Amino acid sequence: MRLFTCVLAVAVTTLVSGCATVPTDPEDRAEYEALNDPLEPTNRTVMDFNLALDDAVLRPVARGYRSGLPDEVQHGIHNVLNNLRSPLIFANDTLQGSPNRAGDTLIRFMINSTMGVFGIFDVVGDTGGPRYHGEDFGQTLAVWGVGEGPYLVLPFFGPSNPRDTVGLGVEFLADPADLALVNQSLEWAVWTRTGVGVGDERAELLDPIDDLKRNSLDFYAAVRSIYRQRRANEIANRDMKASDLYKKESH
Amino acid sequence: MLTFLYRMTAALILVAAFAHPVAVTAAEPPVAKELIATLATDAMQTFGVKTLSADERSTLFRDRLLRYSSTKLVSADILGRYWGRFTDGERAEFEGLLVDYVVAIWSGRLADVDPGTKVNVQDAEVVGDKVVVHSVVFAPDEPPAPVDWYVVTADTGANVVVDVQADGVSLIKTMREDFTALLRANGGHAAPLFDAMRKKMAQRAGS
Repeated sequence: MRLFTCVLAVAVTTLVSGCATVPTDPEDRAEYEALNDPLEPTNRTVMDFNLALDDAVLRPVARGYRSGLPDEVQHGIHNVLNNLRSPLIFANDTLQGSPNRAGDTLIRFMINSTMGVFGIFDVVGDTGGPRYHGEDFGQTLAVWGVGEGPYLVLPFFGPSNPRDTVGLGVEFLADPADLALVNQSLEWAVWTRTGVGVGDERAELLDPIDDLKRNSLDFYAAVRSIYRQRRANEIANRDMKASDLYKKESH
Repeated sequence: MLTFLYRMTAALILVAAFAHPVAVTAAEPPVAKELIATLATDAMQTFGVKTLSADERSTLFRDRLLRYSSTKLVSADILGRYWGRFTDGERAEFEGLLVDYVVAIWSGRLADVDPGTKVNVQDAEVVGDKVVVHSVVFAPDEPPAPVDWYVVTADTGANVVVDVQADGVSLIKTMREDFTALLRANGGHAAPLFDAMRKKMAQRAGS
């Protein structure tokens, strides 16, 4: 109990000392509130930690993954990982009251898991059917009206907020594909999926992140801006189907 | 998460040469659509040529930037409330630096433009004081990318693009939050921002 109290005291002290100072000037204060990043000093420190870890481990691994595997193999792995997320996406589509999107996810999962050889090939998307769309429990909470809370940078996971952090935790515990694997005593498969997923995602982001580092004056601020805009776009489901792409006039 | 950057690169290549300020009224939607169609064709014909040297690409990019844009409104959008705090001299210096900065940062990526890239211009709608032209960019071996263009009529009567969004990410908003973070960290003073921009350009020139 005493240890817990000490840890709590240290955590609170760290958080408080890591808070940004609230400006007194009205314009400055309005900007401060719009940024919604009261923990900016702490967040910047965590990002520095994440970047150091990335430089030491993830980025080299991702570069090896990309240069060591043929493109076709990487695409196949990426498709399989997307396909394994389908039950989770279906659940979130349903929880958000989006039957059409849930139907798209279900059809994709059924066809790609069979005709697409366990999801290696995106048969549905490649033949003009519904394209892959992501969905997560953080988005579901947003659709249910839960506020995002202040911007957070999580160790290892990167940009987030309290709402998305809760979503991440729920998905960690309740991913249907992982639960099914654990029920079959295939815990190794869960860890393999997680590890390959991290490598695949980092490999996809190699060039964009390098570009953003080179092209931004304040990498932290640029990432924060992009993360928020992207999340707002994802929550609004402003993606498109392949069939939408050709239905209007073309130049 | 950030694959939009590639989409934004394609969009920026088009918009940077046409971003035009000094405008506060929405363009007519059909005119705005025509502008984007013309812009897309012109940009692809210009930058899809693979025999261009790096210097030629930069020169063409700068020429178009200066020919089709007045950087004043874009500069004001990027700097937000700090624009009003700058002196006239600082504003002028920023406008000039912004052109150099955009050319230095982005012209290198023009080499990656695939001549097979197509822009499908779709519908247009009035949103506030702007017209949003929706489009889809088709680049070979890339998934189709939705890109929205924000067009206004300048007080000169010219129809100009003032922002572009790829995957819901606004180029101008992202640049604003990037640039103003540096201003905020330095008490709103212009000099550190200008120094950072010059340093970044020097890094790009040396890379």
